[in-house]
Amino acid sequence: MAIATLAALDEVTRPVVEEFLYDEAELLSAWRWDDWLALFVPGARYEVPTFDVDGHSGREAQYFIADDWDLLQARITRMKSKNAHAENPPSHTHRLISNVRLALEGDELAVRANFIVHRMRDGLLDPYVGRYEHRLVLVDGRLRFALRRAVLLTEAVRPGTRLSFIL
Amino acid sequence: MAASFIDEDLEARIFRVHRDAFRSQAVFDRERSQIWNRCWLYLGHASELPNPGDYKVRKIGGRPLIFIRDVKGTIRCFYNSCPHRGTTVCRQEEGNARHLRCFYHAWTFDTEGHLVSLPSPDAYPSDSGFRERLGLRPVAGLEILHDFVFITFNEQAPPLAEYLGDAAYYLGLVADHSPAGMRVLPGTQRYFSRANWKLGVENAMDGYHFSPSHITFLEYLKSTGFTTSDEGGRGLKLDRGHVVGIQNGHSGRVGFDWEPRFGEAERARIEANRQALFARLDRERASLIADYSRTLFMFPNLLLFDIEGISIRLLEPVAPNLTEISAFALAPRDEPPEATDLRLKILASFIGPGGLATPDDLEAQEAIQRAIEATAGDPRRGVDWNDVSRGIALEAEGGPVRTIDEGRVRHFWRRWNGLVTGTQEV
Repeated sequence: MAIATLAALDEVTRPVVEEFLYDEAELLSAWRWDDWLALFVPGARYEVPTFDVDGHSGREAQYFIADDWDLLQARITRMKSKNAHAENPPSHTHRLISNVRLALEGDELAVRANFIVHRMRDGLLDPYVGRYEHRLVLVDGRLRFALRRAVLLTEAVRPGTRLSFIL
Repeated sequence: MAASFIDEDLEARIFRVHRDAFRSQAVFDRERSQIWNRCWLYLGHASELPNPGDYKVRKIGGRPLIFIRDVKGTIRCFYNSCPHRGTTVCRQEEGNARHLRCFYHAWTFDTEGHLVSLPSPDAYPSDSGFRERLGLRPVAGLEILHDFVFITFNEQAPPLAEYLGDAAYYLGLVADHSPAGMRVLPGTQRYFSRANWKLGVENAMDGYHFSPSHITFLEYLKSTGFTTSDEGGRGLKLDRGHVVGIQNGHSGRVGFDWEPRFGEAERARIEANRQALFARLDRERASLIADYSRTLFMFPNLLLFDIEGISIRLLEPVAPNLTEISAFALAPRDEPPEATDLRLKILASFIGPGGLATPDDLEAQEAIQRAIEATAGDPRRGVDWNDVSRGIALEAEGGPVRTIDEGRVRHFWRRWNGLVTGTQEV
Protein backbone atom coordinates (compact mmCIF):
# COMPACT_ATOMS: atom_id res chain seq x y z
CA MET A 1 0.00 0.00 0.00
CA ALA A 2 1.67 3.12 -1.25
CA ILE A 3 -0.89 5.55 0.13
CA ALA A 4 0.49 8.33 2.29
CA THR A 5 -1.11 8.93 5.66
CA LEU A 6 -4.17 11.14 5.41
CA ALA A 7 -4.96 13.83 7.95
CA ALA A 8 -8.70 14.23 7.38
CA LEU A 9 -11.46 12.81 5.17
CA ASP A 10 -12.11 16.15 3.51
CA GLU A 11 -8.67 16.11 1.93
CA VAL A 12 -9.29 12.73 0.29
CA THR A 13 -9.33 13.07 -3.47
CA ARG A 14 -10.60 10.76 -6.18
CA PRO A 15 -7.11 9.43 -7.09
CA VAL A 16 -6.59 8.47 -3.46
CA VAL A 17 -9.85 6.50 -3.42
CA GLU A 18 -9.07 4.97 -6.81
CA GLU A 19 -5.70 3.83 -5.51
CA PHE A 20 -7.44 2.30 -2.48
CA LEU A 21 -9.92 0.40 -4.69
CA TYR A 22 -7.21 -0.81 -7.09
CA ASP A 23 -5.08 -2.03 -4.21
CA GLU A 24 -8.10 -3.82 -2.77
CA ALA A 25 -8.84 -5.46 -6.15
CA GLU A 26 -5.29 -6.73 -6.30
CA LEU A 27 -5.57 -8.28 -2.83
CA LEU A 28 -8.82 -10.01 -3.78
CA SER A 29 -7.50 -11.39 -7.04
CA ALA A 30 -4.37 -12.59 -5.23
CA TRP A 31 -6.47 -14.39 -2.56
CA ARG A 32 -4.74 -12.41 0.23
CA TRP A 33 -7.54 -12.70 2.76
CA ASP A 34 -5.91 -11.38 5.94
CA ASP A 35 -4.61 -8.29 4.14
CA TRP A 36 -8.06 -7.78 2.66
CA LEU A 37 -9.85 -8.10 6.01
CA ALA A 38 -7.41 -5.54 7.44
CA LEU A 39 -9.07 -2.97 5.13
CA PHE A 40 -12.22 -3.09 7.30
CA VAL A 41 -12.94 -1.43 10.62
CA PRO A 42 -14.16 -3.93 13.24
CA GLY A 43 -17.95 -3.99 13.09
CA ALA A 44 -18.03 -3.36 9.33
CA ARG A 45 -20.50 -5.06 6.98
CA TYR A 46 -20.23 -6.66 3.55
CA GLU A 47 -23.43 -6.75 1.48
CA VAL A 48 -24.64 -7.95 -1.89
CA PRO A 49 -28.35 -7.09 -2.27
CA THR A 50 -30.78 -9.18 -4.30
CA PHE A 51 -32.36 -7.65 -7.40
CA ASP A 52 -35.80 -6.77 -6.09
CA VAL A 53 -35.07 -5.29 -2.64
CA ASP A 54 -36.61 -1.97 -3.65
CA GLY A 55 -34.62 0.12 -1.19
CA HIS A 56 -35.02 -2.26 1.77
CA SER A 57 -31.96 -2.71 3.95
CA GLY A 58 -30.31 -6.07 4.55
CA ARG A 59 -32.04 -6.14 7.94
CA GLU A 60 -35.50 -6.07 6.32
CA ALA A 61 -34.99 -7.88 3.05
CA GLN A 62 -33.26 -11.06 1.94
CA TYR A 63 -29.90 -10.27 0.38
CA PHE A 64 -27.47 -12.59 -1.33
CA ILE A 65 -24.91 -11.54 1.27
CA ALA A 66 -25.58 -9.54 4.44
CA ASP A 67 -22.45 -10.19 6.49
CA ASP A 68 -22.08 -8.52 9.83
CA TRP A 69 -18.60 -8.51 11.36
CA ASP A 70 -18.96 -12.06 12.72
CA LEU A 71 -20.10 -13.51 9.41
CA LEU A 72 -17.49 -11.62 7.44
CA GLN A 73 -14.78 -13.16 9.59
CA ALA A 74 -16.41 -16.59 9.22
CA ARG A 75 -16.45 -16.06 5.44
CA ILE A 76 -12.72 -15.34 5.43
CA THR A 77 -11.97 -18.37 7.61
CA ARG A 78 -13.92 -20.41 5.07
CA MET A 79 -12.15 -18.86 2.07
CA LYS A 80 -8.83 -19.93 3.54
CA SER A 81 -9.96 -23.54 3.98
CA LYS A 82 -9.26 -26.19 1.38
CA ASN A 83 -12.74 -27.47 2.28
CA ALA A 84 -14.48 -24.45 0.76
CA HIS A 85 -15.28 -26.74 -2.16
CA ALA A 86 -16.98 -24.03 -4.24
CA GLU A 87 -13.64 -22.19 -4.41
CA ASN A 88 -11.26 -25.12 -4.46
CA PRO A 89 -9.67 -24.85 -6.91
CA PRO A 90 -10.02 -21.09 -6.56
CA SER A 91 -11.62 -19.07 -9.34
CA HIS A 92 -9.52 -16.44 -11.08
CA THR A 93 -10.92 -12.95 -11.05
CA HIS A 94 -10.15 -9.95 -13.22
CA ARG A 95 -11.48 -6.65 -11.93
CA LEU A 96 -12.22 -3.38 -13.71
CA ILE A 97 -13.25 -0.38 -11.61
CA SER A 98 -14.25 3.00 -13.00
CA ASN A 99 -16.57 6.03 -12.68
CA VAL A 100 -15.44 6.60 -9.11
CA ARG A 101 -17.40 9.35 -7.30
CA LEU A 102 -17.09 10.47 -3.70
CA ALA A 103 -19.16 12.53 -1.33
CA LEU A 104 -18.33 13.46 2.24
CA GLU A 105 -21.21 12.57 4.54
CA GLY A 106 -20.41 13.40 8.16
CA ASP A 107 -17.45 11.31 9.27
CA GLU A 108 -17.89 8.89 6.37
CA LEU A 109 -16.94 9.04 2.74
CA ALA A 110 -19.68 7.70 0.44
CA VAL A 111 -17.97 6.11 -2.56
CA ARG A 112 -19.71 5.00 -5.71
CA ALA A 113 -17.95 3.20 -8.52
CA ASN A 114 -18.79 0.90 -11.42
CA PHE A 115 -17.28 -2.55 -11.66
CA ILE A 116 -17.00 -5.47 -14.01
CA VAL A 117 -15.58 -8.54 -12.36
CA HIS A 118 -14.77 -11.45 -14.67
CA ARG A 119 -14.69 -14.80 -12.95
CA MET A 120 -12.86 -17.66 -14.67
CA ARG A 121 -13.46 -21.22 -13.56
CA ASP A 122 -14.46 -24.61 -14.95
CA GLY A 123 -13.49 -23.52 -18.45
CA LEU A 124 -16.00 -20.65 -18.36
CA LEU A 125 -15.84 -16.88 -18.09
CA ASP A 126 -18.68 -15.10 -16.28
CA PRO A 127 -18.95 -11.31 -16.15
CA TYR A 128 -20.46 -9.70 -13.04
CA VAL A 129 -21.56 -6.14 -13.77
CA GLY A 130 -22.47 -3.75 -11.00
CA ARG A 131 -21.85 -0.78 -8.80
CA TYR A 132 -20.02 -0.35 -5.53
CA GLU A 133 -21.72 1.70 -2.82
CA HIS A 134 -19.08 1.78 -0.10
CA ARG A 135 -18.83 3.81 3.10
CA LEU A 136 -15.24 4.59 4.00
CA VAL A 137 -13.81 6.04 7.20
CA LEU A 138 -10.39 7.24 8.22
CA VAL A 139 -8.49 5.16 10.79
CA ASP A 140 -4.95 6.19 11.73
CA GLY A 141 -4.65 8.14 8.51
CA ARG A 142 -5.81 5.20 6.31
CA LEU A 143 -9.05 4.60 4.43
CA ARG A 144 -11.03 1.69 5.80
CA PHE A 145 -14.38 0.08 4.92
CA ALA A 146 -17.28 0.67 7.32
CA LEU A 147 -19.59 -0.80 4.70
CA ARG A 148 -18.58 -2.63 1.55
CA ARG A 149 -21.55 -3.09 -0.74
CA ALA A 150 -21.53 -4.58 -4.23
CA VAL A 151 -24.79 -4.12 -6.11
CA LEU A 152 -25.26 -6.40 -9.11
CA LEU A 153 -26.96 -4.53 -11.96
CA THR A 154 -27.58 -7.31 -14.43
CA GLU A 155 -31.18 -7.18 -15.61
CA ALA A 156 -31.67 -10.83 -14.81
CA VAL A 157 -29.46 -13.16 -12.84
CA ARG A 158 -27.16 -14.95 -15.18
CA PRO A 159 -25.75 -18.45 -15.04
CA GLY A 160 -22.61 -18.39 -12.97
CA THR A 161 -23.94 -15.92 -10.44
CA ARG A 162 -22.41 -17.84 -7.65
CA LEU A 163 -21.01 -15.53 -5.02
CA SER A 164 -18.59 -17.94 -3.43
CA PHE A 165 -15.80 -15.45 -4.14
CA ILE A 166 -15.74 -11.76 -3.15
CA LEU A 167 -17.49 -9.51 -5.64
CA MET B 1 -37.26 -43.58 -24.60
CA ALA B 2 -35.79 -46.20 -22.28
CA ALA B 3 -38.27 -48.56 -20.62
CA SER B 4 -36.88 -47.45 -17.26
CA PHE B 5 -34.21 -45.12 -15.99
CA ILE B 6 -33.90 -46.91 -12.68
CA ASP B 7 -32.46 -50.33 -12.08
CA GLU B 8 -33.83 -51.60 -8.79
CA ASP B 9 -33.38 -54.94 -7.08
CA LEU B 10 -34.05 -54.77 -3.36
CA GLU B 11 -32.95 -58.38 -2.81
CA ALA B 12 -29.61 -57.72 -4.46
CA ARG B 13 -29.41 -54.33 -2.69
CA ILE B 14 -29.17 -52.52 -6.01
CA PHE B 15 -30.68 -49.16 -6.86
CA ARG B 16 -29.18 -47.10 -9.64
CA VAL B 17 -30.24 -44.29 -11.92
CA HIS B 18 -29.20 -44.01 -15.55
CA ARG B 19 -27.23 -40.82 -16.21
CA ASP B 20 -29.23 -40.04 -19.35
CA ALA B 21 -31.83 -38.77 -16.88
CA PHE B 22 -29.56 -35.76 -16.30
CA ARG B 23 -28.06 -35.30 -19.76
CA SER B 24 -30.54 -36.11 -22.45
CA GLN B 25 -32.62 -33.51 -24.31
CA ALA B 26 -35.14 -36.25 -25.15
CA VAL B 27 -35.61 -36.92 -21.42
CA PHE B 28 -35.96 -33.18 -20.78
CA ASP B 29 -38.65 -32.91 -23.46
CA ARG B 30 -40.41 -35.97 -22.04
CA GLU B 31 -40.38 -34.37 -18.57
CA ARG B 32 -42.06 -31.28 -20.02
CA SER B 33 -44.96 -33.31 -21.37
CA GLN B 34 -45.25 -35.95 -18.64
CA ILE B 35 -44.42 -33.92 -15.51
CA TRP B 36 -44.46 -30.15 -15.98
CA ASN B 37 -47.55 -30.12 -18.23
CA ARG B 38 -49.49 -32.53 -16.01
CA CYS B 39 -48.61 -32.13 -12.31
CA TRP B 40 -49.52 -29.35 -9.88
CA LEU B 41 -46.67 -26.83 -9.70
CA TYR B 42 -45.80 -24.28 -7.03
CA LEU B 43 -46.28 -20.73 -8.33
CA GLY B 44 -45.82 -18.41 -5.34
CA HIS B 45 -47.06 -17.27 -1.96
CA ALA B 46 -50.20 -15.16 -1.63
CA SER B 47 -48.33 -12.66 0.57
CA GLU B 48 -46.13 -11.74 -2.40
CA LEU B 49 -49.15 -9.85 -3.75
CA PRO B 50 -50.45 -7.94 -0.70
CA ASN B 51 -52.59 -5.38 -2.54
CA PRO B 52 -55.31 -5.60 -5.20
CA GLY B 53 -53.68 -5.10 -8.60
CA ASP B 54 -50.25 -6.37 -7.47
CA TYR B 55 -48.60 -8.66 -9.99
CA LYS B 56 -45.34 -10.47 -10.64
CA VAL B 57 -44.21 -12.24 -13.76
CA ARG B 58 -42.76 -15.69 -13.26
CA LYS B 59 -41.70 -18.59 -15.45
CA ILE B 60 -42.94 -22.00 -14.36
CA GLY B 61 -42.52 -25.20 -16.37
CA GLY B 62 -40.98 -23.10 -19.16
CA ARG B 63 -44.10 -20.93 -19.50
CA PRO B 64 -44.05 -17.14 -18.91
CA LEU B 65 -46.89 -16.32 -16.52
CA ILE B 66 -48.57 -13.38 -14.80
CA PHE B 67 -49.18 -14.02 -11.09
CA ILE B 68 -51.69 -11.37 -10.08
CA ARG B 69 -54.19 -10.35 -7.38
CA ASP B 70 -57.13 -8.84 -9.23
CA VAL B 71 -58.71 -5.57 -8.11
CA LYS B 72 -61.35 -7.54 -6.18
CA GLY B 73 -58.64 -9.45 -4.27
CA THR B 74 -58.71 -12.85 -6.02
CA ILE B 75 -55.38 -14.45 -6.93
CA ARG B 76 -55.14 -15.42 -10.58
CA CYS B 77 -52.58 -16.70 -13.05
CA PHE B 78 -52.54 -15.97 -16.78
CA TYR B 79 -50.19 -16.87 -19.58
CA ASN B 80 -48.09 -13.75 -20.17
CA SER B 81 -48.84 -13.78 -23.88
CA CYS B 82 -51.37 -11.60 -25.62
CA PRO B 83 -54.29 -13.68 -26.99
CA HIS B 84 -54.21 -11.43 -30.07
CA ARG B 85 -50.79 -11.99 -31.65
CA GLY B 86 -48.75 -13.42 -28.82
CA THR B 87 -46.79 -10.45 -27.47
CA THR B 88 -45.53 -10.34 -23.89
CA VAL B 89 -48.26 -8.44 -22.04
CA CYS B 90 -46.44 -7.61 -18.78
CA ARG B 91 -42.89 -6.59 -19.56
CA GLN B 92 -42.13 -5.37 -16.04
CA GLU B 93 -40.95 -7.93 -13.50
CA GLU B 94 -43.56 -6.72 -11.01
CA GLY B 95 -45.91 -3.86 -10.36
CA ASN B 96 -49.42 -2.76 -9.50
CA ALA B 97 -52.00 -2.23 -12.21
CA ARG B 98 -55.71 -1.71 -12.73
CA HIS B 99 -55.32 -2.71 -16.36
CA LEU B 100 -52.81 -4.74 -18.32
CA ARG B 101 -52.12 -3.33 -21.75
CA CYS B 102 -50.25 -5.05 -24.56
CA PHE B 103 -48.10 -2.32 -26.13
CA TYR B 104 -48.13 -3.85 -29.63
CA HIS B 105 -51.75 -3.04 -30.56
CA ALA B 106 -52.91 -1.56 -27.24
CA TRP B 107 -55.34 -4.34 -26.43
CA THR B 108 -56.24 -3.76 -22.79
CA PHE B 109 -57.34 -6.29 -20.19
CA ASP B 110 -58.67 -5.83 -16.69
CA THR B 111 -57.04 -7.71 -13.81
CA GLU B 112 -59.64 -10.48 -14.15
CA GLY B 113 -58.41 -11.03 -17.69
CA HIS B 114 -61.35 -9.54 -19.62
CA LEU B 115 -60.56 -7.76 -22.86
CA VAL B 116 -61.97 -4.34 -21.99
CA SER B 117 -60.75 -2.15 -24.82
CA LEU B 118 -58.95 -2.24 -28.13
CA PRO B 119 -58.31 0.49 -30.70
CA SER B 120 -60.80 0.78 -33.57
CA PRO B 121 -62.98 -2.16 -32.55
CA ASP B 122 -65.38 -1.52 -35.43
CA ALA B 123 -63.36 -3.81 -37.69
CA TYR B 124 -64.13 -6.75 -35.39
CA PRO B 125 -67.47 -8.50 -34.80
CA SER B 126 -69.65 -6.40 -32.49
CA ASP B 127 -71.08 -9.33 -30.53
CA SER B 128 -69.76 -9.97 -27.02
CA GLY B 129 -68.50 -13.42 -28.02
CA PHE B 130 -65.49 -11.91 -29.75
CA ARG B 131 -64.23 -10.21 -26.61
CA GLU B 132 -65.08 -13.21 -24.47
CA ARG B 133 -62.98 -15.45 -26.69
CA LEU B 134 -59.98 -13.14 -26.54
CA GLY B 135 -59.45 -12.48 -22.84
CA LEU B 136 -56.12 -13.26 -21.17
CA ARG B 137 -55.72 -17.04 -20.97
CA PRO B 138 -55.83 -18.36 -17.42
CA VAL B 139 -53.85 -21.50 -16.59
CA ALA B 140 -55.97 -24.67 -16.45
CA GLY B 141 -56.04 -24.82 -12.66
CA LEU B 142 -55.13 -22.68 -9.65
CA GLU B 143 -55.62 -23.66 -6.01
CA ILE B 144 -54.32 -22.17 -2.78
CA LEU B 145 -53.46 -24.04 0.40
CA HIS B 146 -52.30 -22.09 3.49
CA ASP B 147 -51.39 -19.18 1.16
CA PHE B 148 -49.18 -21.42 -1.00
CA VAL B 149 -50.41 -20.96 -4.57
CA PHE B 150 -50.24 -23.94 -6.93
CA ILE B 151 -51.12 -24.11 -10.61
CA THR B 152 -51.49 -26.79 -13.22
CA PHE B 153 -51.56 -26.73 -17.02
CA ASN B 154 -53.61 -29.93 -17.00
CA GLU B 155 -57.41 -29.73 -17.07
CA GLN B 156 -57.57 -33.38 -16.00
CA ALA B 157 -55.31 -32.97 -12.96
CA PRO B 158 -56.80 -34.28 -9.70
CA PRO B 159 -57.81 -31.64 -7.11
CA LEU B 160 -54.79 -30.13 -5.33
CA ALA B 161 -55.66 -31.75 -1.98
CA GLU B 162 -55.69 -35.16 -3.63
CA TYR B 163 -52.44 -34.43 -5.46
CA LEU B 164 -50.65 -33.29 -2.29
CA GLY B 165 -52.10 -36.08 -0.17
CA ASP B 166 -50.32 -36.50 3.16
CA ALA B 167 -47.75 -33.84 2.19
CA ALA B 168 -50.36 -31.13 2.78
CA TYR B 169 -50.09 -31.74 6.53
CA TYR B 170 -46.42 -30.66 6.53
CA LEU B 171 -47.22 -27.56 4.49
CA GLY B 172 -49.74 -26.68 7.20
CA LEU B 173 -47.08 -26.90 9.91
CA VAL B 174 -45.15 -24.06 8.28
CA ALA B 175 -48.29 -21.96 8.02
CA ASP B 176 -48.91 -22.49 11.75
CA HIS B 177 -45.70 -20.87 13.00
CA SER B 178 -47.69 -17.79 13.96
CA PRO B 179 -51.40 -17.06 14.47
CA ALA B 180 -50.83 -13.84 12.52
CA GLY B 181 -49.91 -15.84 9.43
CA MET B 182 -46.75 -15.85 7.36
CA ARG B 183 -45.33 -13.52 4.74
CA VAL B 184 -42.58 -13.63 2.16
CA LEU B 185 -39.95 -11.01 3.00
CA PRO B 186 -38.72 -8.65 0.26
CA GLY B 187 -35.70 -9.82 -1.72
CA THR B 188 -35.65 -12.91 -3.93
CA GLN B 189 -32.44 -14.84 -4.35
CA ARG B 190 -32.55 -15.68 -8.05
CA TYR B 191 -29.65 -17.65 -9.41
CA PHE B 192 -28.72 -20.46 -11.76
CA SER B 193 -27.11 -23.80 -11.38
CA ARG B 194 -25.39 -25.25 -14.42
CA ALA B 195 -26.87 -28.60 -13.57
CA ASN B 196 -30.01 -30.66 -14.05
CA TRP B 197 -32.94 -29.75 -11.77
CA LYS B 198 -33.10 -33.28 -10.36
CA LEU B 199 -29.60 -32.88 -8.94
CA GLY B 200 -31.07 -30.01 -6.90
CA VAL B 201 -33.84 -32.29 -5.63
CA GLU B 202 -31.40 -35.09 -4.79
CA ASN B 203 -29.12 -32.68 -2.95
CA ALA B 204 -31.90 -31.42 -0.69
CA MET B 205 -33.12 -34.95 0.05
CA ASP B 206 -29.68 -36.32 0.89
CA GLY B 207 -28.35 -35.91 4.42
CA TYR B 208 -25.36 -38.10 3.58
CA HIS B 209 -23.54 -35.20 1.92
CA PHE B 210 -24.04 -32.81 4.82
CA SER B 211 -20.90 -33.45 6.84
CA PRO B 212 -18.35 -33.80 4.02
CA SER B 213 -19.80 -31.10 1.76
CA HIS B 214 -20.48 -28.52 4.47
CA ILE B 215 -17.42 -29.01 6.60
CA THR B 216 -16.59 -25.28 6.59
CA PHE B 217 -20.14 -24.43 7.68
CA LEU B 218 -19.95 -26.96 10.50
CA GLU B 219 -16.60 -25.48 11.54
CA TYR B 220 -18.21 -22.04 11.57
CA LEU B 221 -21.07 -23.28 13.76
CA LYS B 222 -18.57 -24.97 16.06
CA SER B 223 -16.70 -21.67 16.42
CA THR B 224 -19.97 -20.13 17.68
CA GLY B 225 -20.37 -22.90 20.27
CA PHE B 226 -22.77 -25.23 18.45
CA THR B 227 -22.36 -28.67 16.91
CA THR B 228 -24.74 -30.51 14.62
CA SER B 229 -24.95 -33.41 12.20
CA ASP B 230 -27.56 -35.20 10.13
CA GLU B 231 -27.61 -38.22 12.44
CA GLY B 232 -30.96 -39.24 13.90
CA GLY B 233 -33.14 -37.67 11.22
CA ARG B 234 -36.13 -39.51 9.81
CA GLY B 235 -37.48 -39.36 6.28
CA LEU B 236 -41.09 -40.01 5.31
CA LYS B 237 -42.08 -41.19 1.86
CA LEU B 238 -45.25 -39.24 1.17
CA ASP B 239 -47.88 -39.62 -1.55
CA ARG B 240 -47.03 -39.10 -5.23
CA GLY B 241 -43.27 -38.69 -4.79
CA HIS B 242 -43.45 -35.96 -2.15
CA VAL B 243 -40.92 -36.40 0.64
CA VAL B 244 -40.19 -34.89 4.02
CA GLY B 245 -37.11 -35.14 6.23
CA ILE B 246 -37.64 -34.45 9.92
CA GLN B 247 -34.85 -33.69 12.34
CA ASN B 248 -34.61 -32.93 15.99
CA GLY B 249 -31.71 -30.71 17.00
CA HIS B 250 -30.35 -30.51 13.48
CA SER B 251 -29.85 -26.79 13.85
CA GLY B 252 -31.10 -23.89 15.87
CA ARG B 253 -34.27 -22.32 14.48
CA VAL B 254 -34.99 -18.64 14.78
CA GLY B 255 -38.11 -18.21 16.89
CA PHE B 256 -38.18 -21.71 18.40
CA ASP B 257 -34.86 -23.40 19.05
CA TRP B 258 -31.95 -21.46 20.47
CA GLU B 259 -28.30 -21.72 19.56
CA PRO B 260 -25.50 -19.48 20.85
CA ARG B 261 -25.12 -17.27 17.78
CA PHE B 262 -28.75 -16.14 18.19
CA GLY B 263 -27.84 -14.11 21.32
CA GLU B 264 -29.58 -13.57 24.65
CA ALA B 265 -32.48 -11.41 23.44
CA GLU B 266 -33.56 -14.18 21.06
CA ARG B 267 -33.27 -16.74 23.89
CA ALA B 268 -35.91 -14.87 25.88
CA ARG B 269 -38.13 -14.37 22.83
CA ILE B 270 -37.92 -18.09 22.01
CA GLU B 271 -39.07 -18.99 25.50
CA ALA B 272 -42.11 -16.74 25.17
CA ASN B 273 -42.80 -17.98 21.62
CA ARG B 274 -42.77 -21.60 22.70
CA GLN B 275 -45.14 -20.96 25.58
CA ALA B 276 -47.56 -19.18 23.26
CA LEU B 277 -47.31 -21.96 20.67
CA PHE B 278 -47.98 -24.78 23.16
CA ALA B 279 -50.93 -22.80 24.56
CA ARG B 280 -52.35 -22.27 21.06
CA LEU B 281 -51.94 -25.74 19.52
CA ASP B 282 -52.21 -29.29 20.74
CA ARG B 283 -49.04 -30.68 22.22
CA GLU B 284 -48.04 -32.94 19.32
CA ARG B 285 -48.50 -30.27 16.66
CA ALA B 286 -46.78 -27.61 18.74
CA SER B 287 -43.85 -29.93 19.36
CA LEU B 288 -43.57 -30.79 15.66
CA ILE B 289 -43.38 -27.08 14.87
CA ALA B 290 -41.10 -26.02 17.71
CA ASP B 291 -38.77 -28.97 18.24
CA TYR B 292 -38.16 -30.29 14.73
CA SER B 293 -36.70 -28.93 11.54
CA ARG B 294 -38.11 -30.14 8.26
CA THR B 295 -37.19 -30.26 4.61
CA LEU B 296 -40.26 -30.83 2.47
CA PHE B 297 -40.18 -31.64 -1.23
CA MET B 298 -43.41 -31.21 -3.18
CA PHE B 299 -43.02 -32.99 -6.47
CA PRO B 300 -41.77 -31.58 -8.79
CA ASN B 301 -40.73 -27.95 -8.17
CA LEU B 302 -41.02 -26.89 -4.51
CA LEU B 303 -38.50 -27.34 -1.71
CA LEU B 304 -39.62 -25.93 1.61
CA PHE B 305 -36.86 -25.68 4.18
CA ASP B 306 -38.10 -25.14 7.74
CA ILE B 307 -34.62 -25.12 9.23
CA GLU B 308 -32.58 -22.22 10.71
CA GLY B 309 -35.15 -20.00 9.04
CA ILE B 310 -37.81 -20.80 6.47
CA SER B 311 -36.80 -20.82 2.84
CA ILE B 312 -39.09 -21.50 -0.11
CA ARG B 313 -37.03 -22.76 -3.05
CA LEU B 314 -38.55 -22.93 -6.49
CA LEU B 315 -36.82 -25.05 -9.16
CA GLU B 316 -37.28 -24.12 -12.80
CA PRO B 317 -35.59 -26.32 -15.40
CA VAL B 318 -34.22 -24.35 -18.35
CA ALA B 319 -32.27 -27.07 -20.16
CA PRO B 320 -30.96 -30.53 -19.24
CA ASN B 321 -27.85 -28.83 -17.84
CA LEU B 322 -29.33 -25.56 -16.55
CA THR B 323 -31.77 -24.74 -13.74
CA GLU B 324 -33.03 -21.41 -12.48
CA ILE B 325 -33.55 -21.25 -8.74
CA SER B 326 -35.61 -18.72 -6.78
CA ALA B 327 -35.35 -18.64 -3.00
CA PHE B 328 -37.84 -16.70 -0.86
CA ALA B 329 -37.59 -16.07 2.88
CA LEU B 330 -40.80 -16.71 4.81
CA ALA B 331 -41.41 -15.17 8.24
CA PRO B 332 -44.25 -14.67 10.73
CA ARG B 333 -46.23 -11.54 9.93
CA ASP B 334 -45.95 -10.35 13.53
CA GLU B 335 -42.20 -10.90 13.91
CA PRO B 336 -40.40 -7.94 15.54
CA PRO B 337 -37.81 -6.20 13.31
CA GLU B 338 -34.80 -7.31 15.37
CA ALA B 339 -35.90 -10.96 15.03
CA THR B 340 -36.33 -10.55 11.27
CA ASP B 341 -32.84 -9.08 11.13
CA LEU B 342 -31.51 -12.15 12.94
CA ARG B 343 -33.56 -14.50 10.73
CA LEU B 344 -32.13 -12.95 7.57
CA LYS B 345 -28.59 -13.14 8.88
CA ILE B 346 -28.94 -16.76 9.95
CA LEU B 347 -30.62 -17.76 6.67
CA ALA B 348 -28.03 -15.98 4.52
CA SER B 349 -25.20 -17.55 6.51
CA PHE B 350 -26.17 -20.93 5.03
CA ILE B 351 -28.58 -20.46 2.14
CA GLY B 352 -28.14 -18.97 -1.30
CA PRO B 353 -25.37 -18.42 -3.82
CA GLY B 354 -23.49 -16.20 -1.36
CA GLY B 355 -24.05 -18.32 1.76
CA LEU B 356 -21.40 -20.33 3.56
CA ALA B 357 -22.99 -23.66 2.51
CA THR B 358 -25.20 -23.52 -0.62
CA PRO B 359 -22.25 -22.70 -2.93
CA ASP B 360 -20.78 -26.09 -2.03
CA ASP B 361 -24.09 -27.75 -2.96
CA LEU B 362 -24.01 -25.93 -6.31
CA GLU B 363 -20.40 -26.99 -6.77
CA ALA B 364 -21.40 -30.63 -6.25
CA GLN B 365 -24.30 -30.44 -8.69
CA GLU B 366 -22.26 -28.70 -11.37
CA ALA B 367 -19.34 -31.06 -10.87
CA ILE B 368 -21.73 -33.99 -11.44
CA GLN B 369 -23.22 -32.42 -14.55
CA ARG B 370 -19.78 -31.89 -16.10
CA ALA B 371 -18.39 -35.25 -15.10
CA ILE B 372 -21.18 -37.59 -16.20
CA GLU B 373 -20.20 -36.87 -19.80
CA ALA B 374 -17.31 -39.23 -19.02
CA THR B 375 -19.40 -42.38 -19.06
CA ALA B 376 -21.99 -41.47 -21.71
CA GLY B 377 -22.71 -44.47 -23.91
CA ASP B 378 -20.30 -46.81 -22.14
CA PRO B 379 -22.12 -50.13 -22.54
CA ARG B 380 -20.44 -51.94 -19.65
CA ARG B 381 -22.88 -52.94 -16.95
CA GLY B 382 -23.39 -50.30 -14.28
CA VAL B 383 -20.81 -47.83 -15.63
CA ASP B 384 -23.16 -45.09 -16.93
CA TRP B 385 -25.31 -45.24 -13.79
CA ASN B 386 -25.38 -43.42 -10.45
CA ASP B 387 -25.58 -45.55 -7.33
CA VAL B 388 -28.42 -44.57 -5.00
CA SER B 389 -28.46 -47.63 -2.74
CA ARG B 390 -27.40 -46.29 0.65
CA GLY B 391 -29.66 -47.74 3.36
CA ILE B 392 -31.44 -50.08 0.94
CA ALA B 393 -31.14 -53.12 3.23
CA LEU B 394 -33.01 -51.22 5.93
CA GLU B 395 -35.62 -50.26 3.35
CA ALA B 396 -35.95 -53.85 2.11
CA GLU B 397 -36.64 -54.94 5.68
CA GLY B 398 -39.33 -52.25 6.03
CA GLY B 399 -37.22 -50.23 8.47
CA PRO B 400 -37.28 -46.46 8.93
CA VAL B 401 -35.92 -44.10 6.29
CA ARG B 402 -32.91 -42.36 7.82
CA THR B 403 -32.13 -38.90 6.46
CA ILE B 404 -28.45 -39.86 6.22
CA ASP B 405 -29.45 -42.63 3.78
CA GLU B 406 -30.73 -42.30 0.22
CA GLY B 407 -34.28 -43.62 0.78
CA ARG B 408 -35.87 -40.22 0.15
CA VAL B 409 -33.91 -39.88 -3.08
CA ARG B 410 -35.08 -43.34 -4.20
CA HIS B 411 -38.70 -42.38 -3.45
CA PHE B 412 -38.33 -39.34 -5.71
CA TRP B 413 -36.77 -41.38 -8.49
CA ARG B 414 -39.49 -44.06 -8.42
CA ARG B 415 -42.13 -41.37 -8.88
CA TRP B 416 -40.16 -39.53 -11.55
CA ASN B 417 -39.51 -42.74 -13.45
CA GLY B 418 -43.16 -43.75 -13.24
CA LEU B 419 -44.32 -40.47 -14.76
CA VAL B 420 -41.62 -40.19 -17.42
CA THR B 421 -42.03 -43.76 -18.62
CA GLY B 422 -45.82 -43.51 -18.46
CA THR B 423 -46.38 -46.30 -15.94
CA GLN B 424 -47.86 -43.95 -13.29
CA GLU B 425 -50.73 -41.49 -13.43
CA VAL B 426 -50.51 -37.91 -12.15
